[in-house]
Amino acid sequence: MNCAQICEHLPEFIDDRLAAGTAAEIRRHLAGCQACRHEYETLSATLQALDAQPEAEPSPRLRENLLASIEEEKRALRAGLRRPAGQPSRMRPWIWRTCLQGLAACVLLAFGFLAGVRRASAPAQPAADSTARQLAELNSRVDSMGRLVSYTLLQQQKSSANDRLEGVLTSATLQRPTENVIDNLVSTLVLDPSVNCRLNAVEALYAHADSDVVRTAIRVSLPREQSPLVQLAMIDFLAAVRDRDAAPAFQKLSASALADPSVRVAAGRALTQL
Amino acid sequence: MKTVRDLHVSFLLSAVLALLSLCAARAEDATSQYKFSDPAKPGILKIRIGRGDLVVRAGDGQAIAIHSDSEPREQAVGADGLRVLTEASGYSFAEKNNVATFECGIANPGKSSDCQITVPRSTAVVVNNVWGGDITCSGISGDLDIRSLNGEVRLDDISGGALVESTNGGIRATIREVHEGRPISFTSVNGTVSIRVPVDAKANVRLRTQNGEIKTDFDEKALVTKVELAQPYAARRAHTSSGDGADSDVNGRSPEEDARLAAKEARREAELEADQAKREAREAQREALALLKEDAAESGGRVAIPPIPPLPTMTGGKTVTGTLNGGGPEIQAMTVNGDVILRKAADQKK
Repeated sequence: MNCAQICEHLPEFIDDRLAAGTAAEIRRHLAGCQACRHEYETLSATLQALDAQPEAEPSPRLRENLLASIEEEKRALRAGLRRPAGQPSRMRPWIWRTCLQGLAACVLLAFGFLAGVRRASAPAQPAADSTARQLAELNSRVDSMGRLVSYTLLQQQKSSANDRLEGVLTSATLQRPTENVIDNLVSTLVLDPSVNCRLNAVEALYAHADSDVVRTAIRVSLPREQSPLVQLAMIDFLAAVRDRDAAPAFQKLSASALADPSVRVAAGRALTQL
Repeated sequence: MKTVRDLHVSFLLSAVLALLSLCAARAEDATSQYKFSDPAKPGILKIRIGRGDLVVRAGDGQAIAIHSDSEPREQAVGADGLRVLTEASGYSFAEKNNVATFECGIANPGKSSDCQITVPRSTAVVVNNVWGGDITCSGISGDLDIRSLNGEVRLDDISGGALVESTNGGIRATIREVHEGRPISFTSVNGTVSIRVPVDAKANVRLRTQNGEIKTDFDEKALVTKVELAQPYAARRAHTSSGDGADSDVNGRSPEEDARLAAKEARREAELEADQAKREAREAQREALALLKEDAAESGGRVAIPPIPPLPTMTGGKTVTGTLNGGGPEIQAMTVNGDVILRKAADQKK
């Protein structure tokens, strides 16, 4: 036997688990081989040290823990949810997700339906609000115009035509007249007994021809105006602003036998320009 | 020897002479005198005359003197204890708180009554001539407000504000002075409006006529004007189109087609003119206000407000706006059928 074979048999030699002839041969080799003898001595010392360690005593709860694990395994088997220990469950998130998805879809559908219904009915409310606002504004304006008419008539009794004309001329020079000033000019146009004042009111209002109130006032006053001079000015005003709503008034004037001939001609020309 | 017949004739002659003397005396006494409640303050005289000529003169006294063909309406109590309120003839005069009212011939327009009234110089005079008659006011420095249906209106040597409306009749005015805050505005439907102002008067002028001309003897330096004319294209074509009775023009179109084309062109041109007029008016106002600010900054004093851009003459007519000697209070004259004339006052004419 060579040294390698001798080293393979050493653990069994130490344990005395070899046949007599093999053991004798290993003795004769160890007596003559120092390397093998060193290997034999090292291995014998290691085995003796291991044998000298105290035996580890098991935990007193080992038995209990072991039995509890066994019982849990048994329970799992009985519930049909036996799974290998340590592997997470996949069934519960899927169902939850599916339920959530379905719920979300229902919610979205409902939301969409409600939103559509709301949108369909939404325009009515702003229009109703807008109409109510306009009515309130008109009421307020009628009230204020009524007060303005009273005030204007009172002023006409108190002040001379010269003063009223001066007031109109002053109003016409204002760069940014207030609504009150424009209302005063309109009331002068409608109510003042002086032709000179009414004529200058038309001239002064031309700067505010963009206002619906002003154009309407001119248009409404035209049929009831008696002075041909003021009528001509009103016709020029409405023709200049291309007020097509004035066409019926122009037509009537151009055909009226009572109107001044110059007014009839002017009304006819204004019609062609509309 | 005188007979009884001779005595009777003498008696009758004496009686007639006495009666004539009495009438003459009464005629001289036909002027009635009235006074304002507070002669120290300017008063207002409101005159309503039915038919007849009216002359109002300024006097240096404080009394209102009225001379009329009519007699003062006396509302005497009759034997039955009643006063006649609906007396047709005569004139009435009432005064309260420096506002006097004179009415003559209103209830009986068939009877013409001429009136001559003398008032304190600073009196404001309001005249409404209901049916017709010429109106003359002279030397008044108070404001005048005159409405005349038929008749000429003549204002001589006035120096206050003046508003005159005449329906059938011209207006002639000689203005001694123009004052800030006292505009002058004359309107007539059928009649020429002629105004004389001092050669150095400063005013903003606005002159308009529908079917007439606007004339002046002020030169271009003194009277700086802008003329607005608008003659619709259709009208021009109507004037130039032939009146020889031809049925179609050289292009083979009928007069009706021509008229339609003319109207279409007129509309397009009128739209362009209107837009241009509005732009120019706004621009003129902006420029004028900018100049006003510059002038105010330079002079440090009160500067005349520039004239307001006029209404565009869309349907015919002519408008002239401008400044006289740099500008000042408003002088306006407008007529439908008649000319507008702005002249230098006669005694200062160069």
